[in-house]
Amino acid sequence: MRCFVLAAALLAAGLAPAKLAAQAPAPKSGSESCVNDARIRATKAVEQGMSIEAASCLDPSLSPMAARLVGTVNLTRAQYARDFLQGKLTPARYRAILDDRSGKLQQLVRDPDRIREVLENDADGDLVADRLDRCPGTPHGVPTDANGCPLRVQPTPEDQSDDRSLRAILSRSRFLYNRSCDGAPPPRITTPLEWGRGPQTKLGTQGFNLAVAKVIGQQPGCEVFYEVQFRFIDPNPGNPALPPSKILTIVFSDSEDLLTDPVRSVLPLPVGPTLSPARSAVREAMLRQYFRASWRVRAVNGSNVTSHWSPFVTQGPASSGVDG
Amino acid sequence: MRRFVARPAGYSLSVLSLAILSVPWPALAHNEPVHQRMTDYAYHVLLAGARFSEGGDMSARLRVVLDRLGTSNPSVKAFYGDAAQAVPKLRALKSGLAADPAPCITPSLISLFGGPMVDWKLPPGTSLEELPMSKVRLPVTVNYGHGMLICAIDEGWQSSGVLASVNPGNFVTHDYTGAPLGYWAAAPDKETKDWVLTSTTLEVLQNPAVVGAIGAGVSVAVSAVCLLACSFFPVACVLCPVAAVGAAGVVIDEITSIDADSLESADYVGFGHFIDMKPTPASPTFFDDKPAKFMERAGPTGAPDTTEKLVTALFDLGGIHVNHDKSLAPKNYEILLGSGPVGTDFHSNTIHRDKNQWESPTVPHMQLTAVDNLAMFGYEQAKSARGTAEEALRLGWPLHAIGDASVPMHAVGASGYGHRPYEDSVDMVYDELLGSDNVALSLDTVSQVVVRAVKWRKFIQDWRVLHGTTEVPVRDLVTAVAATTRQKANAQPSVFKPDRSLQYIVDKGGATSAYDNATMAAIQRDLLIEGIAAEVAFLMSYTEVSP
Repeated sequence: MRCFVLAAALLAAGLAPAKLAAQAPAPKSGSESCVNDARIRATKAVEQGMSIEAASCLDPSLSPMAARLVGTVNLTRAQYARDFLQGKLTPARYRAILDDRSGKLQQLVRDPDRIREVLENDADGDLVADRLDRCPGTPHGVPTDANGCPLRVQPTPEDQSDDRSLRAILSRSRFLYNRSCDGAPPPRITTPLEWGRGPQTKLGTQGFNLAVAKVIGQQPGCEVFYEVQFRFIDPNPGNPALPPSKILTIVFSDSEDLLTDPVRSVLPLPVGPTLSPARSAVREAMLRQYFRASWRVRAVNGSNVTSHWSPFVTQGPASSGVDG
Repeated sequence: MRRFVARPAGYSLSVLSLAILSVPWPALAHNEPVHQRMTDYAYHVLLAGARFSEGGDMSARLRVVLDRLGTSNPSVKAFYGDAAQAVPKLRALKSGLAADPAPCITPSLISLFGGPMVDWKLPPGTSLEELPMSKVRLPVTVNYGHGMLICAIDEGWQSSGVLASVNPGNFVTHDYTGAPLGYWAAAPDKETKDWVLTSTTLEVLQNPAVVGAIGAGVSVAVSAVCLLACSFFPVACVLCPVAAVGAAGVVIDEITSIDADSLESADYVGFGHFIDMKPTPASPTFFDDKPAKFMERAGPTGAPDTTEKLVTALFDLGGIHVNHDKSLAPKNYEILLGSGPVGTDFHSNTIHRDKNQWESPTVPHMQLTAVDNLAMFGYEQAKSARGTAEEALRLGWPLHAIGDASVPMHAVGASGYGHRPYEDSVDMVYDELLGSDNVALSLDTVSQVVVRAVKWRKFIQDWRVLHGTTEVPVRDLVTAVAATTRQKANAQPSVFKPDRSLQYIVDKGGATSAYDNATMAAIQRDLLIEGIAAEVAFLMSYTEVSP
């Protein structure tokens, strides 16, 4: 059933071991490094072995050569993806190389003879057969023209800016993972209940509390987080001290729940000393002065599996506060 | 999709709880509540037209506006009469809603029902699913029947602005036909079987020789680059910064427990919800007259932004392909009406793709299915299911498609360019955009919806006259709405904000705030009105289709 896709990729992987070997690190001292290196070597061996075995289950409706070519290109694209994510290719160059390879692939699949030639004699991997390649030895990741000669990708200020933004985003991103959540269903959909002033919190700060419907039913050890999104609306537009509206997203751990109530989780939103003075002032201003907020909540388990968002609820602070 | 990670040493949960970011896929939009509310609004406009035609009660100011529109344009007057014909048929549709056992916990609902369980007051021998929409006594949210912790009854439901006067009553006596109809209009976003994917990279890794172990019981945060690189391809992990990978080094989760052949996620559902209205280049071959999403040429000019490139890289890294056998979309949304290149709806048929064509390229390098095809599939299914509880569900498909076609990013095949910030923003300010709390603005909204609905109605009627049929040109309609959307977006190109999609990954609020201003609100309002108007015309015309 999925044989073709698998086989194509694995056939292509058969071309890859030399490249993969070049990336393998020199053995390091220490048992952990040794285990890592062993794991990497095992992975390569598996890829090689499977690539050979998988040839036997190629989909007969596509020529083996064409499948191998598609698989080669797919594997090469994965390599470019890694290069791009690791910062070795700028966004512009990444796009240029993808466009180049996709264009050549479209041409090649119509010409079985050239497919064979490219697969067997294309030393620099630019999808131009060596016989026709006027610029052999093009470095990896460089787009070429129909003659195999490098295309200039002129870096623009936007490209450099995009690249900086992307690197900054990726360096700041954090993804959750908890093995105890393996196989856990998506958390059930929670809902906002109320928000308002809270009493003194566990953290010892006077702040606000948010009450949401408690998410239960996750596997033992699989944590639940609550992602809350507010939109504050200024009741008196034109106040120079505040923007007309402000959107704020905050994530809470279930361990921050102030209650042991079976249906309500009350989450503290500190505005006091635990925050920097600037952030504290912003939150205080928003929660005190905006008066009304639309907010919604969703649950995220420890492996980043999310529930759907709740609907937005528009409400002012609970008049009697929210106990935690 | 599951993610497999390296574990950094000594990561503090307390830090994590304040700093984590769930993965906000910038590419994958979900604005189900907006779909529901657009359709509910469209129903209310039909209700207003019907009431006006029949001399029913409504606010004096609304009556003046409707009267003025009808007096100045005979087509509008006819539209009111047609609305009076359409409304009873929509009210008679079976709700299709399954029972949802989630309990209510708010005092008002508990008091109303005499306990936590929702009381639909069903007539003896009648299920909620079979109940006519007009008899559904409570408004459901889009999460109804989808695992809500507490009952998904929308206690805050209200008719928008001046339209409240055409739907009088109290919480349990309003006409809620628009709410379940809108519920179904949102439903295509939950069709996770539309796109089931395969990761060849994971399949390679799913071998005992490469399986490692990771500790259990604690959530950890790992860097994006390492996650992406290591999770799919351990060889690349050695290149990750040591600080991010941690002293324990790189380990692979027990990935044998993952079905790499059947990756399903709500994140993939939207693949088929685009239609690219840019001029089509000569090459490569496209499979529909207006192609669907194709990451290689996404965006208003065909130049994918950095977010799109990031998504491309992730899918290429994972070797993510379509699993043709398990995916519904390649089969359902390939529209072949009749045997020739032009369908029985006089719209170009899809060029058939075989399994190999679907499966051989990775997702970023293949063309997905177009949203007008999704609409046509639902329309045909609804007609086939006429009179059954499934009819309303399938009607949701064309309604959803019209809603998507009114979003600029959907009309240029872009996952980036501010796609999610734009839609989140509309979600947040929807009521303000349509003037729910502003009588003058609300009257203007109704007026504009009526005028434009008459325009879309004429589009349908002209087609019917031309081709001698009572059908609805669903593919033409969705395509025309998308063309209008792209035209309006081109006139206000700042609606495309590629930097905001990237920002959305780490700062959803900040990215969304970029759309929280008067200029963006104007185009959002304009496009919302266009979409609602097209839905009005569609709903009215659907009720006229011969069984």
